[in-house]
Amino acid sequence: MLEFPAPGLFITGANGCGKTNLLEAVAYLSSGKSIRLKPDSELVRFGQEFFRLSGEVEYSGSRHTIEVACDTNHIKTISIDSVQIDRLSELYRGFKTVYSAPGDVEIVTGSPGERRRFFDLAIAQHDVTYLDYLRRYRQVLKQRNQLLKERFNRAEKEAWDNSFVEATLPVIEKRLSYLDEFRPVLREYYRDISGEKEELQVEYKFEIPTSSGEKFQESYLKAITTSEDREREQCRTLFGPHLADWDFLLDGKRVRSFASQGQNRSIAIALRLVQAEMVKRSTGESPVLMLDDVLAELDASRRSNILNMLHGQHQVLIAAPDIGDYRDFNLPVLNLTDKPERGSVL
Amino acid sequence: MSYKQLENLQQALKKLPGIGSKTARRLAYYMVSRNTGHAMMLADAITSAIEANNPCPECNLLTEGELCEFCADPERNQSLLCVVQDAQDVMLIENTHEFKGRYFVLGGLLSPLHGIGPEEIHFPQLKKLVEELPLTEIILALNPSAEGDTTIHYIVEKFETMPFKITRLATGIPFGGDIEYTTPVTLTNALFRRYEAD
Repeated sequence: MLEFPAPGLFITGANGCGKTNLLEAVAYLSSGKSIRLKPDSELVRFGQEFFRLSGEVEYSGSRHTIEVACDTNHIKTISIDSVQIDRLSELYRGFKTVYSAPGDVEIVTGSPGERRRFFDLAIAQHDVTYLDYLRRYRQVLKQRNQLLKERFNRAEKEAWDNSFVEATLPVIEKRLSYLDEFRPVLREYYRDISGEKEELQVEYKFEIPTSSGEKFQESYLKAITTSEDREREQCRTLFGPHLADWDFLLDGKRVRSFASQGQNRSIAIALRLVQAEMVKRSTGESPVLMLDDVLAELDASRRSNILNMLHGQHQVLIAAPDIGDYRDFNLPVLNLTDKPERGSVL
Repeated sequence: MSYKQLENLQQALKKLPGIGSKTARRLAYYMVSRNTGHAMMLADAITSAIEANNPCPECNLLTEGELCEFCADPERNQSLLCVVQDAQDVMLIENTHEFKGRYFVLGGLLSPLHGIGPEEIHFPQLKKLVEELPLTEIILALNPSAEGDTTIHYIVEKFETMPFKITRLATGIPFGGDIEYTTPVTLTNALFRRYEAD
């Protein structure tokens, strides 16, 4: 059993002592999946048959017990207050965490898929209907891609096109409305991190040309007709939310082509802080914010700017090998090197 | 020693819906060793049921007669047609005692992943029936899934110029249900399609 104090915890210890594992366990309770995208079977301790994880967490104004059990056959059961749940999304609607790790820099510099994963999960935390709409979209997409591989009649294609556009609209509308709220917070946070020096912008990149005043529906139906030959040739859907991207601009210039390492890292952290703020805005409750050794490569002023921004905002769990500058932050300290490692962390 | 025939029986039983390997083995041994009289009766019953039942030429519902009981009944309202996915959906709707029109069983929903296109859902047959009946309304009682919605798009598109109206089942909060346990999208739909309380 481990108790996390309300303001948070500073977790320290030598490399390999289990700092990330501890944060990962907390994150697992909110998503039912490994935050590092590892298959469940790899989370089972070597030589053991299963893992169990349970935690008492507070959300929606009351305490809840979340339990996860998984064996090597990938059979996983999750229960909230002793009631087994059928869908991971039920977990997602309750206990919320935001996890910031060095690998997040990929959201800024990596492939569009990294940005889609970040925004899709962030929006799902913010809007309870998003995952259901996204699931519908993916199902229609799968069917439509299969259709494009076969011989089909005109009306059948039109029916799938209609379903496709219908499934597309809520996904895009929710991405855009999330971004409208996200954008000003990101600008403000990034200004604070960089010390009022830099202006960060983010834009949703439409994969189809949209002229102003035209409804998405019309733009999509137009794109479908103009790209039909290419779609048949490649046997897949060539536009839609599954291919969309977001552009980051720093002082008007594209981040991916010119920003420095430090700037990329600062942006990655800013994204996580805004994600946490968005959860707070939609639910009225702060998520648990975890920073897994993300400040190490920033300069001292950015580091202290970020720590100042965190003060009193969320329950913060910070993991780093040395306490260093974090001392001023006044969090209770847990040194994992002092403790013999045991199976139960929570 | 080999038990080839017994194996065949087990395999055949295993293909039935809801029957796994263990149940299949139990049933096979029971039929062959314990109660062969009953098993022979079952074999006969299966054969005669299959021989006696044919899809109704008008609506595809299984029937032992020429036409199914609904298509043969002149009392049914000929201006209303309810389109369903499977034969068991007909029974569900009949049990409500609210629908007095005719039925049509598609036998599936459009799904390229399962190789189901317009021919597989008997669309040509539906079209023929629709042209013969003096319809004022078609009710599409299909699942609100990706496949169900697309099938609805297809049918609506095809019958666009016809003189009847096409409706689909409402989605919303189950009767006697609890808003708390309604999925968010269902709740969104229910809110969107709210109606005046009187």
